[in-house]
Amino acid sequence: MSEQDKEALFQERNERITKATNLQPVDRIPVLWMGIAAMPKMLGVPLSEYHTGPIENTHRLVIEFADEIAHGEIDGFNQVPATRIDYLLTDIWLSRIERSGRELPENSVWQVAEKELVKSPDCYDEIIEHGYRAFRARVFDQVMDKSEIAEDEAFLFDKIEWRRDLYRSHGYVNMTWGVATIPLEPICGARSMTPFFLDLYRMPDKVKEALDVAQPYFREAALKMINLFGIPRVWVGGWRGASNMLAPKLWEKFVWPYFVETVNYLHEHGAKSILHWDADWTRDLGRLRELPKGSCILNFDGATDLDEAAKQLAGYHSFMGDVPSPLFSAAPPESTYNYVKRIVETWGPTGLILCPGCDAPVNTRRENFEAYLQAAKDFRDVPKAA
Amino acid sequence: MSKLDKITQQIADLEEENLAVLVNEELAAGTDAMTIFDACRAGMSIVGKRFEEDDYFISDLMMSSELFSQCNAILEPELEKAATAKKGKIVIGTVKGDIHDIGKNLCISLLKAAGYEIIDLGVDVPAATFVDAVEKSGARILALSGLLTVAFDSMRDTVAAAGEAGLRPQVKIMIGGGPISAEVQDYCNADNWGDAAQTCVTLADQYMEEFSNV
Repeated sequence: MSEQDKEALFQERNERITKATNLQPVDRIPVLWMGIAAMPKMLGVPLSEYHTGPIENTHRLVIEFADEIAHGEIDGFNQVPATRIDYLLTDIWLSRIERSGRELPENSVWQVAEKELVKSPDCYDEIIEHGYRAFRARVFDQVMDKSEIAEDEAFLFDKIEWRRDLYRSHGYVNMTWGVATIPLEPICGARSMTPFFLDLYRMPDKVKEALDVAQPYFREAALKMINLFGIPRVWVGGWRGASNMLAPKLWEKFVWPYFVETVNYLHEHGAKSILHWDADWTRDLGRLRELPKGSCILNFDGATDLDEAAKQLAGYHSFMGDVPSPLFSAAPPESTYNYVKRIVETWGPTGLILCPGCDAPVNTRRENFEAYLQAAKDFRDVPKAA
Repeated sequence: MSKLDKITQQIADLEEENLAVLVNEELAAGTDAMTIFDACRAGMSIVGKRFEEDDYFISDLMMSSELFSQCNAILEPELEKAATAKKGKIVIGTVKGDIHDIGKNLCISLLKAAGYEIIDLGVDVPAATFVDAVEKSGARILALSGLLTVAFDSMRDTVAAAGEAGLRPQVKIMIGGGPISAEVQDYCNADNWGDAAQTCVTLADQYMEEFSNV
């Protein structure tokens, strides 16, 4: 394919995705992929090498995956944080990350080693007094060497134009390069889930004050990602803040207001929030109608009720997902195929982007991946109006 | 309302203030430790019911576990003296390749509150260690925890190892964790599954009933 053809392909795919997120009619349903560790695994590249290799190698590997393993059948990628996962995950979890070839055996997937890094609830006073940035820096120093932090920061923000051009020149669209969240998530990670949740009952006003102090940092970080990468979409993630995790009165106080503020802020700046929400948010789906229409791309992981989400939100926000991880690694391929069909029947064709829920797992089976692609091919076409 | 009822109610309503004082006062008044313990368990039972009815969520389970642990810490020395009977033994751990323990620890708290003796093997536990612990303890229930999808293979290996050791079907194996589903249960050939901590209590109680009917 000539460079001109690839540019035309990129334009076609980009327009398709943009229309889907704008709830406009599409020629066919866009199909994306996300499987950060699954890609090197399927290509036979050791995860430890993938973790630490040069940036060029990392992204060329992703392109190789799209061309060779996915046969060019995907329109692009949800998120390709690629390597240096330590820094990225530490940023949103404020926990130590264990990875293959270091703490874990070769080819093991990285894991968040959540410990009570911040042992005292005095941390809320620390945030209130000194700000979130100082708190974050202190915790980072506990889990990563300064040299690692500097190296990873440089890596993550390196060669942005080169990266953008690489994917574009191969015809692939990046939904986003940016990852943001709300204050509850990393502060919960630093305290560890159990102590943090108990703090919510024992000292709600103090925690709230700290989250309020931290919120501008998070809102601006989300906007910074938009400006830095030049893509008007960014992840605004949630996991511990999920509806099944927190009692309604806690969710109302410590989770929802921060999503509302960030989504509205990004919307005012012409950007969409990709609500990369793990776990089950079914209870509070209706609240998403309080946000501006079309401001969000719902990126669930399969735990939130698909039917209920469509019933309450189809036509109001777009949906990107949500094939659950077990369907890539522990189920017969026909289950993967049938789930994709179900997504299309439930949400499609307008306002839908097919994608794995969260991140397809490291042990994604080739046959299940093929079933995902086949189902996408079989059901993505939009029936032409008579 | 009696002080025992108040203890039950406070645990059920997640009220921490003065709970330990109440337990200590009741002990000082000469009430049997087991009677107070039962009042605490009654509170946890209400919590479990509220969770099943979607009135309570994971944070509520954590808070109730914390309250129960506080009471238990006061009562334990007296209960040990009385050598109180447990419902049964359960071997539990996070499977090989996975180091997550928050869900497992919450299950342990809830199972203890429900009257089970727990043998906690920790995280990243090889199949052989599970089998060994079940054989040595005589536990009839094995609970495997995992958060990562790579845990599925370890769960399957552990279930297979239990079968090869001749532990099945007399030992029931339940698997649990955020990504666990019916498909994963099939994949692992486990007896049952849960994606919420409270489920382990429901399943363990079902198994104990089955065992008592045989």
